[in-house]
Amino acid sequence: MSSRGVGLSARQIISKILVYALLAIGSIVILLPLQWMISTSLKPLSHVFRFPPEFWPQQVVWENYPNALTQLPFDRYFANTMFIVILCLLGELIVSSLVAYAFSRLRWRGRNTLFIVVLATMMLPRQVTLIPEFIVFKQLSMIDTFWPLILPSWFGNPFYIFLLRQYFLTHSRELDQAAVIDGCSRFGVFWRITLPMSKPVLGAVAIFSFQFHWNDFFRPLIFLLDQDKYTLALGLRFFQGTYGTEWNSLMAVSLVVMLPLIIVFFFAQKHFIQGVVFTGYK
Amino acid sequence: MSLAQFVKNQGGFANVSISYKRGETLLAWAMISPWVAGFLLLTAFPMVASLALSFYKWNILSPPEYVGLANYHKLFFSDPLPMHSLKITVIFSLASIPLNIVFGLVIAMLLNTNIRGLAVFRTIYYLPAILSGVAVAILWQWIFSSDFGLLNTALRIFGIEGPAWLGSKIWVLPAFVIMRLWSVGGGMIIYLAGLQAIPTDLYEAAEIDGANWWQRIFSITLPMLSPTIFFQLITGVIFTMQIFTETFIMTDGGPANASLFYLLYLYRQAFQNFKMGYASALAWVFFLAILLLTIILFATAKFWVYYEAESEEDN
Amino acid sequence: MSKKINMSRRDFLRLTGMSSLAAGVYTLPGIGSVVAQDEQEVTIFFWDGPPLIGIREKALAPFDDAYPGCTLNFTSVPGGPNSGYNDKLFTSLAAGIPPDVFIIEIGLLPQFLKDDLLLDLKPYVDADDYDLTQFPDLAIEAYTHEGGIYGMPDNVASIAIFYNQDLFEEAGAMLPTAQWDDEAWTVDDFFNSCEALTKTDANGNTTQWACDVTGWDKVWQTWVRIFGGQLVDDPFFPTECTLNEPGAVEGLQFYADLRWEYGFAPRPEAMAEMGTGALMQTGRLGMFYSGSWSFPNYREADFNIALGHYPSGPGGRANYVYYYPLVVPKTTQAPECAWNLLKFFNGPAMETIIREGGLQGTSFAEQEKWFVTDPLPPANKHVMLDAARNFVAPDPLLTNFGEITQIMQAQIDLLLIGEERDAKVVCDEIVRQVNPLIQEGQWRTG
Repeated sequence: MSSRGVGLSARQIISKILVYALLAIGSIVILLPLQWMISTSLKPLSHVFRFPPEFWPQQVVWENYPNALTQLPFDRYFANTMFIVILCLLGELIVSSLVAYAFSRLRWRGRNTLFIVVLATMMLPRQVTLIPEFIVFKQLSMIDTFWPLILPSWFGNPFYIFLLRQYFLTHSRELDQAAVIDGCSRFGVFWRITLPMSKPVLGAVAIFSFQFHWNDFFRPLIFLLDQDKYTLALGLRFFQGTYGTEWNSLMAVSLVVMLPLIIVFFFAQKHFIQGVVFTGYK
Repeated sequence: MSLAQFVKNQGGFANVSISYKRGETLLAWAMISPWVAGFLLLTAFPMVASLALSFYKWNILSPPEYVGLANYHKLFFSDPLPMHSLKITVIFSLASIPLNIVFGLVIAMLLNTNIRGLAVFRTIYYLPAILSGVAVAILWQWIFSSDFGLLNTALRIFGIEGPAWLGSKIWVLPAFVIMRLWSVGGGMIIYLAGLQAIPTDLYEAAEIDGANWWQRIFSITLPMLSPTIFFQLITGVIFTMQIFTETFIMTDGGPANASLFYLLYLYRQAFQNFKMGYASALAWVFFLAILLLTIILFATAKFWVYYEAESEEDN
Repeated sequence: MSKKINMSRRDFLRLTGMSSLAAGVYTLPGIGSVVAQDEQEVTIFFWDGPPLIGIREKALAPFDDAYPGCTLNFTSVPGGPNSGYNDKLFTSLAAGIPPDVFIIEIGLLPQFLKDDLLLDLKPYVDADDYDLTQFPDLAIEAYTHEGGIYGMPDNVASIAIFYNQDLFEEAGAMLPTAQWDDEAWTVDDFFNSCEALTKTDANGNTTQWACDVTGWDKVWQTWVRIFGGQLVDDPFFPTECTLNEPGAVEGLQFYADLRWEYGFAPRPEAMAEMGTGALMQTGRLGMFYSGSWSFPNYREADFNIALGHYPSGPGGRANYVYYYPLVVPKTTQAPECAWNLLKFFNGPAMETIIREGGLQGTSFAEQEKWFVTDPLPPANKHVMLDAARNFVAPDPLLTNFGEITQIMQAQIDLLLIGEERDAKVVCDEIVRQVNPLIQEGQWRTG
């Protein structure tokens, strides 16, 4: 950027400090509760509610982690979860972007009405569609398999269809027209122009999808029976017991289950979303 | 006027005055065919079934019994709780949705700068969105605990005696709003993606014209980001109105029904009170209300949402 | 520009390619296991989390060998009754594929009985001459309908007062009794102990509380009974709600006043275990209501903790005991195995469940043997047993008692959070709203 000067003016420095200060305050607000989780996960059960709260446990019990994690076959749950999450993510990326393209950059009769139908499928509370849906999957002999968890992702997810549609609509149409004049097919435009230009939003879809299916508790709960097929989210939910809760184990498992998501996000966000330079200076 | 015509006439979508091309229509149907297949195979039957069940008395355990409009009559005329729960759900949403949109936007803009530690800051702000379910509910129960919670302990430092939060009829809704705001970073990546789509040459041109930071925000960033804000608004309405897990785990609707959100009431009818038919009626009234609201919001879109791809024909 | 586009597409392909690969190395598990022709598979649903899930599984593991011809298929559904178990159970019931044995909340039992969905276990009990006296009478009575027996207890879980002995001794307060038929430890004694235990600092802020005033339904209902009140006229054949009669009103007024009139109790919390349970654990609360599931929280407490009974009042001493049943659907393909499983569960498996799982368990003999002799804190664990033996107040048998509880709870909340100070007002409103529902929920005649 040529307009950017060599040195920083006083104003630029102040605005930088301001940005840092705001971000730091926000970070503290976010991290403080998480710190409690970490410190709880390392306490003996009888020290969990010491008052005033201990910032760092007086007596650190590292064994809480192995103890909590060996109570259930978490390695198995991890493998199941990865399998489901990756297949869902693929389906959601591929199919949702196809559908979103048709709803944004192609013109056809009934497009807008049908789009409202797409959105409407998110509006009916799942509590009342659950039993009929379960019966559909039973008719398909898919109960106690991963299919009810994976299949819907390959039919397009309305949330991502909407998100991608909004993004595709921000691209200028001139590019498409130029490509068509160059002999590119409409599908070619989608594949060679629209998708590559949409890297940030595809990244957002991937992160959201990964996280959603990673944490999804409800569908695996309903559709899986065999404990060997359970997922991490189900394993985690076990720790909220019917007869009392082991707070320290719950927190330890929550943190461990969250860790892969943090790592994925940390590396993925940089890959998909670069920081740009238009705010915070001058 | 049909629904479709209403939507079309009210804008919100592209202006569709141009003629359709046959090839384009065929391609479009080919591209949406997976969704159509999924809708017919997995979504349509459960939706229709739940609509049908709303005219039945069904306790799940035994065959349903046709009761006509009785469930709807009860919902509107004899049971005070559906309207009560709808009211508090709307109040909660009116507070939560705008706050989340504004805070999400501000955070995304701060995190779209070129500063050191960007990846770390982004990850920190995203953390609450990653963490879900029980652990969060329990975490916040501890934060809101009246006599030894984090929040009231912090307030005491400033000499303020905090309320009982989740144990208080008045403060339970603000507590849930605060809790939702904590995880506002979840929407950040959507805003960040939207910000990436804004061509930098727009800013350069504006800078040459001497526009200051505020002018650039209001004349470039916000208009160019309006499709993303619109997305956040619509999905915010759909999902905020469906708030369930927090109250289910933390307060079970209490105290004195002050956090009995609509979906919790519906859930009770469906899976605790053996009234699946009534629950279906509740669900369909809710569905139609949200649908109507969404259509109205789509109608307003033409006044404030700017789509680059649709701008050419309008000119 | 074009170079950038190519790069990006490659990224996209690489992402999808890598993911497919990762997915490919892992294959879908098959549906169910192959069971030999002469074997009957019996599926059971529990709702435990760790460590209980492992302990139950271990306790039931020898079942297959003990009953050749039966194969156990153990499923624990995460989250418990308030977080997904019912959704899963009802979904499988609606789809016609319920488990062969499952646990349900007691409040759901009447609807299952009314719709005639459960297998009558009486023929099996008679054939095996099975001893039912090992269980609390009222539990079995609640599972009985028209001569049939439709459930076996899963766990008997009493509620008792947990108290911090050090705080009591320091304040010179009378200790909660551990003897059910003790003449002492009356409501007045309770009140005096509370007064002695409550401490305030120079500014008038409370630093130590005496007791809890929780919204837990089973606790306020016990206070109703202590003062001679009842929820309904007859729990087995309810016809009207009696919560606005003098005893019930007096009990609730006393209970609420402990907080709002006398300041003995801390402010309301959404969840007892998080709020007042925490105060208890940190030695700032004298008494607290809980069950045996809280024992592990006090194993390493740095004060002496013991159990005591509720005080006695005009209605005598009262308590509440959970007695959720394990039931068998009529449609089961393996009724014999299901019955064998219930027997095994309450027989050979029970020792492990009590000894290692720390549950109170179902049979009194095993409780005496393992639960009461356990030397770890809290002291006086036999209080739990006494409570179960003297348990006299089953939930009203109505098909809609769950719904009635929701309505009562919303009104009781008003009293306990201080929105309404007069118990009579709240009780009258409950009776007004609940009575029509009782008519709706009746399903059998005396």
